[in-house]
Formats: sequence, structure tokens, C-alpha cells
Amino acid sequence: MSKLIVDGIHKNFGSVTALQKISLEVAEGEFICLLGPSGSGKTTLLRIIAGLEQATSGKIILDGKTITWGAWHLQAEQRQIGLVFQNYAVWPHMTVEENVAFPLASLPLNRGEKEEKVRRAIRAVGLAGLEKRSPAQLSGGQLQRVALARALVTNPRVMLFDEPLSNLDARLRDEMRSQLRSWHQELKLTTVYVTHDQAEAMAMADRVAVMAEGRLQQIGGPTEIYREPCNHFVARFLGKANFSAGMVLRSVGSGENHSYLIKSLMGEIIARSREPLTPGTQVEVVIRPEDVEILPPLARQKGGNWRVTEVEFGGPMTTYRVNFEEGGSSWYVMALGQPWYPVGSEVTLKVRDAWVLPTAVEQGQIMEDRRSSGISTRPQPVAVGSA
Amino acid sequence: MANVFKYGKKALMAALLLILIVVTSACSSKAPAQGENNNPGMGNSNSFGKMVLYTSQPQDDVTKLLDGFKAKYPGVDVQVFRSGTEEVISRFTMEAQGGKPQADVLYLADAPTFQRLKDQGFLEAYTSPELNEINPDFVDPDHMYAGTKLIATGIVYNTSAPKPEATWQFLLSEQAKNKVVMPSPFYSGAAAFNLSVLTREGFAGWNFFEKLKANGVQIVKGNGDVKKMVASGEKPYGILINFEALKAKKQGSPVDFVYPREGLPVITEPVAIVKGAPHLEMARKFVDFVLSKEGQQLAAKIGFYMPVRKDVPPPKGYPPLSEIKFLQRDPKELALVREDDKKKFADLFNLPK
Amino acid sequence: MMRLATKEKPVTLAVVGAVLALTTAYPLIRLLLAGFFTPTEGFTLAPLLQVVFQKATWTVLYNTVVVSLAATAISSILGITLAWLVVKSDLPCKSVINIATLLFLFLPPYVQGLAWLQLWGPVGWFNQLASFIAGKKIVLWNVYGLDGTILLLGLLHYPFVYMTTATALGKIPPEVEEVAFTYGVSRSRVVRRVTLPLALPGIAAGSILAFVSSVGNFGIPALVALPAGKILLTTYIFQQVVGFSSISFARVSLLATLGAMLAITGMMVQNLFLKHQHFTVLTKETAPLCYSLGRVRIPLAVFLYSFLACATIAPLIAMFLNSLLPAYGVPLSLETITLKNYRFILADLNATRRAIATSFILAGGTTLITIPLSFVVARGIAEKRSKFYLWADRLGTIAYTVPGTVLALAVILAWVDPWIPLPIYGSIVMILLAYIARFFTLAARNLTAGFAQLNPSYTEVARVLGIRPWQCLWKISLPLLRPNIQNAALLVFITALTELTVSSLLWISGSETIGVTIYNLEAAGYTTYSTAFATLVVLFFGVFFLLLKRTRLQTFLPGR
Repeated sequence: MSKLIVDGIHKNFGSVTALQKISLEVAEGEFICLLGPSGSGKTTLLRIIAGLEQATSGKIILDGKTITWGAWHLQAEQRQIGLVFQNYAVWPHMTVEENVAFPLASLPLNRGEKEEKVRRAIRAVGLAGLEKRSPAQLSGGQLQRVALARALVTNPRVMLFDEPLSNLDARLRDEMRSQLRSWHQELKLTTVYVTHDQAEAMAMADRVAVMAEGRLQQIGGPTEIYREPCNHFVARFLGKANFSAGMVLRSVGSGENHSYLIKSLMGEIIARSREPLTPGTQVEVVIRPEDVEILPPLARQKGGNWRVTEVEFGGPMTTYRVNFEEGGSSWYVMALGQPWYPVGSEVTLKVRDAWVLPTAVEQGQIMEDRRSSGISTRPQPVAVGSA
Repeated sequence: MANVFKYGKKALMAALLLILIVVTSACSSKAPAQGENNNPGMGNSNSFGKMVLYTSQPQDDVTKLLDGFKAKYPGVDVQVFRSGTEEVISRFTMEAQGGKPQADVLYLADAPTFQRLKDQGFLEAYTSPELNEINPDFVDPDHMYAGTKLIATGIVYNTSAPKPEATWQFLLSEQAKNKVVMPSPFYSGAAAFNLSVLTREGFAGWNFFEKLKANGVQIVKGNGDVKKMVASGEKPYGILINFEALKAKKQGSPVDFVYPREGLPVITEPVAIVKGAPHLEMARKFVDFVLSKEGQQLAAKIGFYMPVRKDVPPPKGYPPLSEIKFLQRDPKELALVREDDKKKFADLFNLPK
Repeated sequence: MMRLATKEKPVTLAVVGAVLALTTAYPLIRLLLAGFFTPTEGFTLAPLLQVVFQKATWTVLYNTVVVSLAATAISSILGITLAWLVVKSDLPCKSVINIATLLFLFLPPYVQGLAWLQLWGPVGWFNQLASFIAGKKIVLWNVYGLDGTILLLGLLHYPFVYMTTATALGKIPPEVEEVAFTYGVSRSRVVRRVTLPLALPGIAAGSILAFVSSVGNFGIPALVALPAGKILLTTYIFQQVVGFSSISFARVSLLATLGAMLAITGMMVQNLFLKHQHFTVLTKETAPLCYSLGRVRIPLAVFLYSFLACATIAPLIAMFLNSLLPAYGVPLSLETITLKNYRFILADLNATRRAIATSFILAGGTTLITIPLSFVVARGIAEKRSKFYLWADRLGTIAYTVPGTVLALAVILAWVDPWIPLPIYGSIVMILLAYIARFFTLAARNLTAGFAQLNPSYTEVARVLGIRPWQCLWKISLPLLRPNIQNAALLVFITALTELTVSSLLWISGSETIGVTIYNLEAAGYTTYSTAFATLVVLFFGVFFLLLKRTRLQTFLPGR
């Protein structure tokens, strides 16, 4: 169990900047996700941590020992890190046993100790009995476990995962996800997990670091970044989001909780904010689909009515797409249960909760604060407002 | 476990190699695997017991000739480099250009070639006592090189085809249309020699070759190819050196040879000593041997050549010397015009120069 | 994605550099210099101007490029098709193709000409058959000329493409294609858009080898193009070698340099193909996906085997039959058949044992040195993207493309009066160095293709998990590259064993090779002896391969 500090890592590939001064800290035993679309730099960062790439500048400190400092870096094989690739990379010419045992080859242990470690690792991932199988005879999920056992057997200080579940089918992915999570609970290994699937990140991680275009966009616990995204990108990437411009009317919160009455497209709504706001300021709010209530139409509202343009039934929830008049703003609304409002029907929307997007300046501030460790923030109380 | 067999193949090859090397080294002949020519420890110039020969004679013939030589001088160690004329000349020239010729004796090609080597200063004069019995036409006036045999070029034919008339004009006749093959002066020194000689003879000249082209002659690389084509019947008639044809006939190939009455260009395959030869005394002895009655008889027997000495009769199968007319030219002249003649030939036959 | 950029150990760089400098760079540099420094005039640009402004140079170069490209096309089509059929279809009796191709590789070049002429020449079997059918003597197709040259060169070099392509195809996991099928993509489209692109590194490697081999081939143009008045680069260069003028060798050097530039161009093309690396991960070592040929199966098999019989088995048989004749040109019949040629070779000829020993020592030594050398270079190119190794690779190719005669002369020039005082001139060591220079590229082409298909994840994971680089190499890279290494070793060994053009200039008595011995016999007019010896060589390889199969050691092809 080790503490990992990434400090100002910057990476250029020729004229292309892959990472822009990334800094974050991973506490001992913490499970952190690097989440972002392809090209965001998350894999590059992982590879630099692993020692497979050199950084252009910046430092990485593992367990108090500097392993990367600018162009200097400690060789990959000396870092004591575990790595699981997306494509498993299980060595095809060795059996399961040999695969798991190979990383121990250069360690000064005697045969018996090595065999014991291998046995334990294989058992831990649930592959007992398959030791003598060759990779050709294993399924994708089993191969993934071999890769995991192989990484665990050396007691690494940090576990690195590079989109390990992307190659598995949906059901297997769910299964592995919860497995990985429970192993993490059990073994308490410091873990850095790269993925582009936001559902996966939010389900598994203690904290999520959202990356885009080489920059760290936001870092925080899953609920925090979901309910309090610091910019458009984060808001959109974590789920469907509705945006509205508005003007601050007055404060309605107390003490620590900053809540404000905002005049917006939807009338007057109550929105949470990170920072205190002065009345009269123009702001932008983000509203999650599940925080919008869809209701039958009242008498004609001023400004126009909302009309349903799409209905998507998803099992427990129904997602509506509603347009304000013709060609106006398009919003997503999520409601429990079956579809009640067919396409074309007029509806009324009522916003129950909103969040004020911080300004650019404030974003920087947020990054500073949230950079250091803080395991899962407590969920914020949701203000229920009415127009 | 599987790993053992994975490297098995390499191991097997290595083992096979090792065994072969050991076995064959153990019973390989006394010739050393490393030929050291300029070994300073093993003696300096004029040391008895070693000689280096560069020749284009067939391997077997050389071996037998050297057996005769070694019988006369037991204990002598002769190192031979044998290859095609062109290869031997280029290797020798390359070494000479590098400043360190390795050969003591050169024994190959024709007089113009040696004239050039003489002009470039690579040869050393030696007046062998055997020269008395050799027609001075075939010997360099400065005694830098001497002819060793008479290789005449004539017409070879496949015995299933009608026997050609004994004249060069036959090749221009209707009978021979599209049926003649000849070696290329660009690849065969003999062909280049013959070209220069024939084009300067009254009865032939460049006219002859123009007419040959009009009659559909095919040009191949060397004498060996001519022989094969005629023997297989692909082309019934060819221009070839006599001993090649007669040797093939002796072996049983369905070929025979005709000596055109106008005359035949003759190549003398000279022998010469290299300037600065490390083993001069032995070199001289070798030249003596080659030109001696004994040596000439041996060569004639082995290679089926016509000897150059007056007092050694040609092997059976050759017409008497009096019946053959030899065409001669000054080697100096031939050496000078060779490249130009080749170019002219290329023009005539539309070949890239 | 950039890969693990480790620093190459300076020791490795130094060793590779030293070996390549000694064997390849040094003679080639002296060769190049000889183009500008003649012994009589010192530094002069006259040869250069002559060569550049002579029309013949460009005619010859143009012919060579056209012929080589066309021949490469034939080799590639043939090689790819056969490789695909053997690795990925249910063609019956596949091992026949394997053996036929390999045997073909062993056919020494000096008997290829003879054998092919016996088949396709104006009085060869093919035309005789046609004449027989037609009732009168006809020549259905005259092999002399550029068309014949193209065909023969194409046939000669297809095994290169076959070897590398088959290995590459065997490394494509079946899932990659299966997925395409589930999308309803037709078979031919899958082959065109999935299979072949993935096998591209292998195809490119083989094709480039075929190309540079065609450019540097002397025997076929001399035999087949020359009689039709067509001169190619190699035959043209040879004309200069035996030329009388003082700048002859300078011209040789410059022409050879032109040939070398052709080779480098070919290499750069291969690098283009290697850039688009499609890494597939062999998570399962299953046999590659096999396609059923359906109705076409038997007719195709019949056609293919008869074609192979004509192209590859028949020349071997022609050569064998020739060795049973008492003399060249004697018609073959039960009365004339004799084994005296074999008796002569095995019992009477002194040189036989020496030649075999020398050739084995040279071939073995060359293989043992070139394989690790090319492995390091290929790895350097693949994993370290090193310019040094890239140029080392190119250098090796130049040494192969340059006509054998020219390389030999360069070696002579280099060592008769060497810049570095090593007394190796005239020894077997000198021949060994020349061989290493010449055949390095045969190994390198195979290994670069192998590395191009090797997914770097395997070694990356290993290194992060703490496995030392040396163990990575031994336990992961080498086993996964085994087919390529085997191909390389085989190719180098066989080619070195039967080599002629270089050793014919470099040997000295006591160190004649098999090739030289056969050549000397041929040159002396003993065609029957030379074919007998050549047949023995081919027989040896046949036995060698049968033994290999017997011991169930992996032959060089994957699949069944």
C-alpha cells in the first residue's frame, strides 16, 4: 500500500502536448479512476507512471521515493508496479501457472515460496484448477483474471489498469466490475484505473479524475463530480445534462450551503453553488434529467410550451426529450416508470435541483483544493425548489 | 517442458554442423583451410617449396598438370586460384592495384591480355631455355610471356545436322540461316580476340559480321554455352574453340569440329611470371615445366590441347599442323583495339555498350 | 502509441557496429571510393561523368527496374496465393507445396539455368511437347528475352514471399476474421480488407527480398536475356569488370552504386509498410482460421500441383536426368543411363570432401553470426526506432543487391592492402566475412517482419512486472519469434551452402566451396558431373528435411 504523488507531469510528443502539467495525489489504498475520452491523455499518464514512457517534465513520487523526475526515470522493472492491459497480453506460449509465476523469476525467493505465492494468486482470482491450461483454452474473462493474478503475485505497491474490461461483454463486465471492487476492498491496494466508461468509473472509484485534451478537468468523489461538475465538459461526460442561462436573484441558503434563486428559462429555480454569488450576476446552470419533473400541461405559460419529441424506455426509467416550441432548447428529462407522455404531447417541466457552473477562475481554484486526497465527499443536501 | 523442443531445431542444426566439421576436418586432405600467401614466417623470396598459381584452366586439368610438376619437384606446395578468365584477371588486377599481388605465375587467357599486363608493369621477364623449341610468333619479344598451346577457333556442329563446308562463308549461307550461335565478345575473352582478328582479315572483315547478323546468328555468353546449345541440338552450328568441341566429342556428345580453310584465329593461353613474385625460383621452374616437352605432352594428354612446341605432336583427333592455317596479329595492336572493337560490335548488334 | 524506449547497451551497439563495419561497411566504402579514385589518375570524376551521361546506363537501369518490378509482382502473387492456400484453406496434401517450395530454394542458381532451359528452351520439353501435339516443330514460346527473364526471376524468388507471408498469416488470430463474418462481410472482402493487411509486414518483407534479389541476379539475365540482346544491370556490370580500360573498375563501382540505390529505395518502401503496424495479440495459439474451398477444392489442387510440378519439380528432375547421362547432348535412353558421374563425384574427385567441409563451415559460421546480429538490428528498429539500426539494415541490403562479383572484388580491394592491419587476405575468414555481409539481409528481412507482428504489450507488461530485460528476451521475445528465426536460419544456411559468385573469386586452393566445385566442373565442360553434384546437394536437403519432420520439431510453417 503506497502513496502516489503526480506532480506537474507534462508530456510532449514532438509538437503535440499530450499532458498539461497534471498533478494529483493518490492516498494509500485509494482507488482512483482516470476518466476521459480517447486522446485525453489518460493512458499516457498511466504509462508514465508505469515507467513505459518518459515525462517531459514533472515528478512522480511513489512511497516517498522519486521514480520520475523530468526526463530521468526509474526503469519500469524496478518500480514494483502491477499492470493489467486492455488486451490482457497473457503470454501465449506459457500456461496459466507459468504466466503467473514468471514475474517472480528474478526475485530472491526459494522454489517453495514462489509456488505458494503463485497458488495464492491463482486462487485469489478464482482460477484454481486451471493452472495447467494454456491461454488458447481460456475465455476472455479468465484471461483477464490471469493478467490480474500475474500482476498481484509480486505484491506491487500500485496497481495500474488500462481499460481492462473494454474487451468483455456487458454481463461479464458487470461481474468483473464488482469482483474488482471487492478485491480492492480486501487487498486495499493503491489503484489507478483508466477507463472511458463513466458508469464504470463512478461505480468503482473512490475518486474520479476527469481528463480531456491532456488536462485534468476535475477530480473528486463520484457523487461530487456528478452533482457538482465544474465545467461543461465534465457535466456532459458524466451523463446527460441540461443547461440554462440565468440571473441571480437572491440567496436562499444558509451557512455553508450556497443556494440561490435564479431566474431562468424555466422561471425561477433554486440552484446550488460552490461560491457565494452576488445578485444580478449572469450564471449558467446545469440540471440533471432526473432532477426535472415532467407534468401535464398547465394553462399556457408565458414564453411558450414544452413539447415531447422523443421517448426512450429504459426499463426502470423513461427518458424524454422535450423541445421548447419549435427549434428551441432541447432538454432531457428522466422519469421513473413507463412512458406516460407520448411524442408530440405538451408538457410542463419543473426543476427540482440545479447547479451553478463555476467560472473559469473558480475552476482553477477548485482544482487546487481538490487535488489532494480526500476520500469520498459526503453527499450534499439537495435543495428542492419550486418555481 | 515444451521449451526443450522449441530450441531443438537450432540445437540439432548446431549438433549436425559440429559433427560434420569434426569429421571432415579430421579426414580432410592435407591442403590447409587457410591459404596464407604472404606469410613472412614461411620464407621470403626465392624460397623453395611453394608457389602460387592463378589460372583459368579447368580444375581437373590443373590438378593433373600439377601432379606432374610435383612429381618432378617433390615437396613443393602449390596454391591455386582457379576461376573463369574474367574472374582471375579481375582478381589479379584488383590485388595488383592494391599493391599486393598474391600470384607468382599467371597462366590463362590470350596474348593481348598479357600485353596489357606487360604494359601496366605487372610482369617479369624470364628467358626459359625451353623457348628455343617454340615458334617465336607465339612468344613475347621481351620474353615477358610465352604461349603454351594453340587454341584455334572454328566451326562446331551437331552431328545430326549436315556437315558444314570447311569455310567461314558457310555460316553466311542459306543452310546456316538462324542456325548459328556464337559467344559474346563482352563476356568471353576468346570471342573478343577472335573478333579483333577476323575483322582485320581480308576474307572476313566487319562485313562478315554484318552478314552474320543478317543471317540470324544468336549471341550467347561464352564458349560453354555455345557448346551446350550445339550439343543439345538447339542450334546445329556454332563458333567455338577447338578443344572444347573435341573434348565434348570424346566424352560422347554428338558434336564435331570443322577447320575453315581461310584460317583460324589462334589463342595461345600464355604463361608469365608476376613482377615481384615472392617465390621466383619455383615460378621459373614451373614456366620451364609448362614449356618443356614433358609438360606439353602432359597438357596435351590431359586437356586435349594442341601443343605449342614444334617437337610435340598434337593428340589424336587433330589434323596435322600443316593442314591448319593460323591467323595472327600483333598482340600490341590487338590490345589497343579491343575496346573499340567491342563497341563497334555492340553497335552492329544493337547491344548497350 | 510510442513504445518503451529503452537505451541500448553501449556494448551491444559497439559489437554490432564493429561486425557490420568490418564485414560490410568497410568493403563497400572502398568500393565507392574506387569509383572516384583510379590507380592511374588519382581522384577523377571522369568515370562518374561517363556513367551518368551514357545512354546505355539508363537503358540498362530502366530495363532492370521494369524487369525486377514485374518479376516481384509475379513472385508476390504466387507466394501470397500459395501461402494463403497452405495456411488458411483446406487444400489437400498441403505439405507437398511446402516441400516443393523449400526444395526450390535449394536449387543452386548455376543449375537453375540449365534446368529451366531444358524445360522451356526452344528445344526443351515444353516446346517438344507442343511440337509433338502440333505435328510439326514449333516454338510455342521462346524463353529468351525480357519476358522469359521476368518469368524465370518471378518463379525463382517466389519462395521468399511464400515463407514470410505464410509465417505472417499464421500469426493472425481467427477472431479477427470471425468478427468480420458476423457482420456479414463476404469472404473475399475479409481476405482483402482484413487478412492481407494484417499480414502486410510479412508480405512486404518477402517482396522486398524478391525485388532486391531480382535486381542483383546475374545468372538468369546472362542466360536468358543476353541471347536476345537485352542487357540488365548485372550483366552490364560484368561486362565492365572484364573490360580492358583503366577506368573499368571505376565504372563497375559506380554502376554497382546505382544498383545499391535501387535496393535502398526498395527498403524504404518496406519501411513504409512496417510503419502501419497492426498489432494483433495472439492470446490463443490456435490454428488460424481455415476456409473451405468448396467445389473449387479439387480442380484447384490439380491445377496448382501440376503448375508447381512444371515450375519447380520439373527443373529438378531435368537436372537429375541430366546427371545420368554419359555426356551432354546424348539423348536419354535406358541404354545410355549411367551412374558413373556419381561415382566420380563421390569417389574420384578430391575436392568433394574438402568442398563439403568448407561449405558447411562457412554456412554454419555465417548462420551462427548473422542470426543474432540481425535479431539485434531488427529489435533495434522495432523497439528503439533507432536510426543507427535502420541504416545498418540498409547497409546489409546493399551488400546483397550488389552483384556477387562486385562484392567479391570490393572485399579483395578491402583486404589485400587493408586500412586495418588484419592478415586475413586469402583465408577462409575473408570468405566468411564476405558471406556475413552478403547474407545478413536474408535474416534481417525475416526478423523485421517478425518484430512488426510482435505486439509490444507482451514485453511491456513483462518489464513493468519486474522481469529483467535479458529474461524478457529469452523467455518471451525469442519463443514468440521462433518461426521467423527458423526461417532466417534456414534461408541463410541454404543460400550460403550453395553460394557461388562470391566464393568463385575469393577462394584459394584448399578452401573451395561446393558452389565453386560445381562451377569448375561446369566450366571444364563436365556438365554431367556438375549436375550430379548438384543433385546430391538437393538430395541432402531433402533428407535433412525429412529428418526434421520425423523428430516432430516445428517446421517453419504454422497450421496443420
